[in-house]
Amino acid sequence: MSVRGCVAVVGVEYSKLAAQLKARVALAACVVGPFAFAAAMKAQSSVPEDTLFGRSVKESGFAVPLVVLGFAALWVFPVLASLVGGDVFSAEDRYGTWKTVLTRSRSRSEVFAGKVVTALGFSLLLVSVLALSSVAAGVLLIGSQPLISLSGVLLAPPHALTRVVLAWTTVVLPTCGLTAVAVLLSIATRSSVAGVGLPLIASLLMQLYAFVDGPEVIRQALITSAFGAWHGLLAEPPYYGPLVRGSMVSGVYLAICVLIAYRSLRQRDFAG
Amino acid sequence: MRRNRLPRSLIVIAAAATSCCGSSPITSARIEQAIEPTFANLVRVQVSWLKMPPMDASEFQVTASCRRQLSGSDAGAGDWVCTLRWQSPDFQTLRDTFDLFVTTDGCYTATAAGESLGGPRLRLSDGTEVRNLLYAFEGCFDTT
Amino acid sequence: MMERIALEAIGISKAFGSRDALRTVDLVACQGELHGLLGPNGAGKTTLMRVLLGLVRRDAGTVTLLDRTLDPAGDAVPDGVAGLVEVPAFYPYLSGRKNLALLARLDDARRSVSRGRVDSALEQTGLTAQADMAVAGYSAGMRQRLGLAAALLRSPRLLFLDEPTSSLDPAGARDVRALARRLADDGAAVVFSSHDMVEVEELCTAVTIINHGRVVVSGAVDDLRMRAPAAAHALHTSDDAAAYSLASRWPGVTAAWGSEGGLALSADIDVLDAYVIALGRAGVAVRGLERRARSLESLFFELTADGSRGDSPATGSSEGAEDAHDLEAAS
Repeated sequence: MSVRGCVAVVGVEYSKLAAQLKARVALAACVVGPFAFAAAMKAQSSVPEDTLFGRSVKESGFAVPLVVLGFAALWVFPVLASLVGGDVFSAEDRYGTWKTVLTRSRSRSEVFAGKVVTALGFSLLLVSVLALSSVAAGVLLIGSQPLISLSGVLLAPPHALTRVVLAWTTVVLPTCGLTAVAVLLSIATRSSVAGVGLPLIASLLMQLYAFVDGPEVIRQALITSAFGAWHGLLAEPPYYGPLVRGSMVSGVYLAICVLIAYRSLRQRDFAG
Repeated sequence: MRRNRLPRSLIVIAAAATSCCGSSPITSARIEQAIEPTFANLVRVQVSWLKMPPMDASEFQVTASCRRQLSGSDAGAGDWVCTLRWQSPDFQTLRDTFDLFVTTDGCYTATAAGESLGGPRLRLSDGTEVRNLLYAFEGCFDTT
Repeated sequence: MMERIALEAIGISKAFGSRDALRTVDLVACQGELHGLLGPNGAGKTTLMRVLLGLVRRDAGTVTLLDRTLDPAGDAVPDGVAGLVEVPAFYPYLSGRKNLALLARLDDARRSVSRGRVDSALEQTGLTAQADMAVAGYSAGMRQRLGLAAALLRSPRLLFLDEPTSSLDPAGARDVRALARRLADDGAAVVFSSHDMVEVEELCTAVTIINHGRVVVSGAVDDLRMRAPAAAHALHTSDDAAAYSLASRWPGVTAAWGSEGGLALSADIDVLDAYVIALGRAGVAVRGLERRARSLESLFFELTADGSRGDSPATGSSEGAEDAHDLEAAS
């Protein structure tokens, strides 16, 4: 297995992605969505009081990316993460192209690594675009006023911007973990429908657990808890406990799912 | 998969982990430690928004006393009631009650129980309106 | 004449659950050889191809392709080896050219080199006109040719073709056979699996016959033809009755009345020559002597001894192996 080989696979996968409608639709949605939301907030008088920072959304543009972040944790991240991750392997089953891809000069390890890197990279691309678009939408449509943090402290615009960017950075690792879950499900089920649908269902179920006052240990072992770790960064003084724990949990999900998926692909017989 | 080592070890770890921590990290102490400075900071911001002379958060001397609405348990997410004692900018000692809803990840929304703090919006002397930061506010605390 | 061995597969075994798909199969092919792989449906031809190309993990045996030993677990296909397994599959939302360009990229080709190779492969398979059309709109024949083009991209010195003419019209099939022959003439080893025994016998210089996952017989086509049961001849004479009575007394000749008039004779060629000369001396003129060659097809059916001229596998595999044994012993 060589790095150059993986890079070749990544290049091929991105060429395929560029020709697919869903990639462009997802990117467009990530750009347009936050602007649509910010415009709606500016136009209407009511604000989303059930989301953190919802009350501040008309007072500071920096609240917009944080509201988007809070909302995205419920619906958007599972879909973003599994859009490519849940399809990149099972698409070959759908088109019957495994025998085409595996009879070239790339080993199964290189094909696996290249596809996983593609999935992770695309998930991160979507998250980055969503983050940048939310910040731009907030600042351009609402303004760059100081933001009231989760401890009631008024943050000056430069500090607010820094915290917002850091908050978005904390969802990178959990998103990678969700992508790995999608990859594993799509390899195991050989179905893109399951690869995209099951992570979403699993995420929703995990988040339902948040409404149940069950054992804390189970809640912290769910990867969806890591998507709320950014709260600590918006407190004064900031606390990092949930972030550290969430990162470890995400890393474990990432490692275990990738390992099981890899073994499964290595041992599979492509008997047609 | 032929080898069963991986799933069995996961079960062992899960059992050990669940057996240790039984009680919820949402305790009255943590809520009080979070809501006191938050409320004080919000009063400070509100003072500046109302275009009154600036004051330091410590001047309001906020103390909180919180208990769960559900009798029989003293920790856990859900409905809580907090009573805040504090000194207003014009040096009056005030007592205000808030209804809290606390989620399992350590974030709460506090809504003023009575009308003593005013409505959702406050009117300034020049006719403009600002949001009443003390009417309903939110915050988060560490549950680890 | 020692040709270099391009493919050496020894003792290949593969079982899917309780079903034995391949049982200690040996397959050897040399450079410049067009090696046919014959067998009925379910014999294991496609499974063998998939094992040799690394798509299916073998349970036992060694595979050496162009002097490179292949790991059972997921090695890349070595340079110079290419394969076309069953119906070729591509990404339907991309054009034929784009599909080939991506495959060339997976083969490490730099973009400048790959463009030339892709154009050449398209030309060799006659797809230049439809190259920029999405594969979703390709006919079965075009798809097959694109699969060949994909294999040609690798400049193969060892090429596996699994039933490559199955979905082609006669003209297309002829082109594929010509391509295979040209590649073999240029020094490549081509393993050509097919149902069509006539095609294999005409095209290939060596053949391996497989049934129920076992090699029934293997060798040069000419050698195997020699081993085939003696050819039958149709004889038409001026006096068939006399010819028949002479034939029934002639040692080494089996005679029967032919279904289209005349006689049906079965004899070795030397015995037949002597008999025909004797006919002339006896005053019987030969008006027609036609060799009805019982070729590889008859050899195959005899060896596999399924009892019926069909594809369904029966219990005859052990008999088939014994027959192969006899043939081996007789040579």
